[in-house]
Amino acid sequence: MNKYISFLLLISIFISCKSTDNTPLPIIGKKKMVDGKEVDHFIPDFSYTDQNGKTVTNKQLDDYVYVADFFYTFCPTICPTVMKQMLTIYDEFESNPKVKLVSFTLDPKRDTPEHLKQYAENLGVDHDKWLFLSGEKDATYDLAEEHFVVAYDDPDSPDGFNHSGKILLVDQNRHVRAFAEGTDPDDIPDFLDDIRKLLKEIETKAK
Amino acid sequence: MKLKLSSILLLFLVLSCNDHQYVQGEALYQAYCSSCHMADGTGLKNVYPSIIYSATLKSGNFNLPCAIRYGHQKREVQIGAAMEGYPKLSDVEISNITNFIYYDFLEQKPMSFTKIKKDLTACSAGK
Ligand code: HEC
Repeated sequence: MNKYISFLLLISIFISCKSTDNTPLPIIGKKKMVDGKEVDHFIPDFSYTDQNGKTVTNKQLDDYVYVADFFYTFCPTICPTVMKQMLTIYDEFESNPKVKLVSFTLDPKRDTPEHLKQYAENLGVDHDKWLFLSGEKDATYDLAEEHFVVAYDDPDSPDGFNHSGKILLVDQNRHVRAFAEGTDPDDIPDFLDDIRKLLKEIETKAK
Repeated sequence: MKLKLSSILLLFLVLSCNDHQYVQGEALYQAYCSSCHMADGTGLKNVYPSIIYSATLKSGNFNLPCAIRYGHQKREVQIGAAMEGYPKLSDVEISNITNFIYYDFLEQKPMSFTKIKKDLTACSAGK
């Protein structure tokens, strides 16, 4: 009897280990109602201008997995640290054509496409791989919320607005699949694993 | 045996004290400088220069105490947030940050307080 139990335990351990390994990344966020039907959370339509002056909508990103953050170049507080983590992610997936990085500015007045281009050049990154997008500020606040990032006008903050430093992973179906706290470098190794996992999932589905 | 143990302990103490000579300087660096130059001093590419690899600092011709007090801008175009300076920090606090940087990041000899005071008068004249 005892033997049976331990045997069963052993099997269940095996099964549980295996299943955690193969569990797909979750789809993060509350379900939405579209035409009276409940669907998984997804990033709504957007249209921005990148550092090359080109228009970028979701369509251009449909074939990619992208890593997104919200920032502004003159931000003296958390943004440089978040950018440093984004740079680590960039370095890791630089040669993978399926991955793009997308940074949305919360300060389009000062972060014009020309300024963002200069910023990208100073970061030393490829203009087609890492998009720096500027658009209407209020729309970007709303879009940030869809990415579970808090951004708001804040009179107590030196630049008049504030935000949280999350880094997000979005799949080709516009679902947010993982996130990391961009202010915490310890969060990044797991996040890199999540990106690999998502890429594998897509590869398996394509077969 | 006892003697050995205590001498090893003593050695440890000395070593660990040496490692953290500029405790206040380190705390101030983390509070005032790390957001742009990063906790480990590596900076962010050409947006926020690295401190540990800074040729400017290593050259010895850079007035770091003044840069801390009044800020530092050499570039014509502002790329990221400007380094604005911290006029509220005392001479001693600035001295501790300066020496934390020279000693821990650049592995150079710390600067004497007299020299730091002298550096600071160089920029106080015009302000
Ligand atoms: C808001 C961001 C920011 C903060 C905070 C900041 N700096 Fe800077 N720092 C810069 C920028 C930007 C430059 C480059 C300025 C230029 O070249 O025009 C710079 C340049 C420097 C340089 C010159 C490095 C080189 O190789 O040219 C030193 C040294 C330095 N900072 C030290 C410090 C210290 C010490 C502190 C804290 C007391 C500090 N910085 C806080 C943004 C910052």
